[in-house]
Amino acid sequence: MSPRKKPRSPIFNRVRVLRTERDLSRAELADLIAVNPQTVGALERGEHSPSLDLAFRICAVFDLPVEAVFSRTEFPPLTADQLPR
Amino acid sequence: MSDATLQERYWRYLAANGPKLHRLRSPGPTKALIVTYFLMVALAIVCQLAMLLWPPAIWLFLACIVISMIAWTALRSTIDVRDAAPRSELDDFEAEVLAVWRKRALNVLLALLFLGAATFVIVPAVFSGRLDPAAVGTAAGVFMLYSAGVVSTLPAVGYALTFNRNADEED
Repeated sequence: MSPRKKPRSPIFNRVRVLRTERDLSRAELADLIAVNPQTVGALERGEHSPSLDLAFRICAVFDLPVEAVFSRTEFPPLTADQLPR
Repeated sequence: MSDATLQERYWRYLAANGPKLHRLRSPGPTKALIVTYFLMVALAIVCQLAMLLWPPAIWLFLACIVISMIAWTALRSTIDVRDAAPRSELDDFEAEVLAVWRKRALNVLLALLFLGAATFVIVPAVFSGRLDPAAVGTAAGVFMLYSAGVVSTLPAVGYALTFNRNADEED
């Protein structure tokens, strides 16, 4: 039962997509970034905004810059990114 | 000499030596433990009132207390006593969940405190001379004990409800 309020200024992320691409379960990703597996779930659902330290640790796992994983604006679907009309 | 406080060392001892109860770390058993605890506390209150009219009810009261303590200990074991963990051991989301539930516990405690205070001021005033002062004092003490027993468990209950789930279950 997570805290009900979503953050006022949400931070969007691609953690679920990136995790799935790399065939990582939530538990495996949680082990890599040293958090509880439910914390990964809360991050993916947007119920929890990561600290700067946690954000950097997540980006280090995916070997991507912060702006590729986290954003103040919603990420467009990847197909739209890769196949512009 | 270690820099860890006594609380930290005690928590590490409990987390390292307590039973793990992996089978109970899922939503169904977690809810069963929580319901068992609160149900047994409620029944203990009923038995304690019944003791006034039927003294052998003390054995039912004691059985309820023992069962509630077993359920509570099992519940805390399933969360590795993380409701009592030092802040440095928790990730940000765990700390956030505990903070929310501690705030809820404080609100419940304030409500119970106000209700109890109003009751134990008004009732003796209304029934002045007809109530045994010792009985009123005992009733106030028992009320406070049960309030503490219920409210103090809320952070651990909230943590267990949030984290005793399958990590990969879909939302």
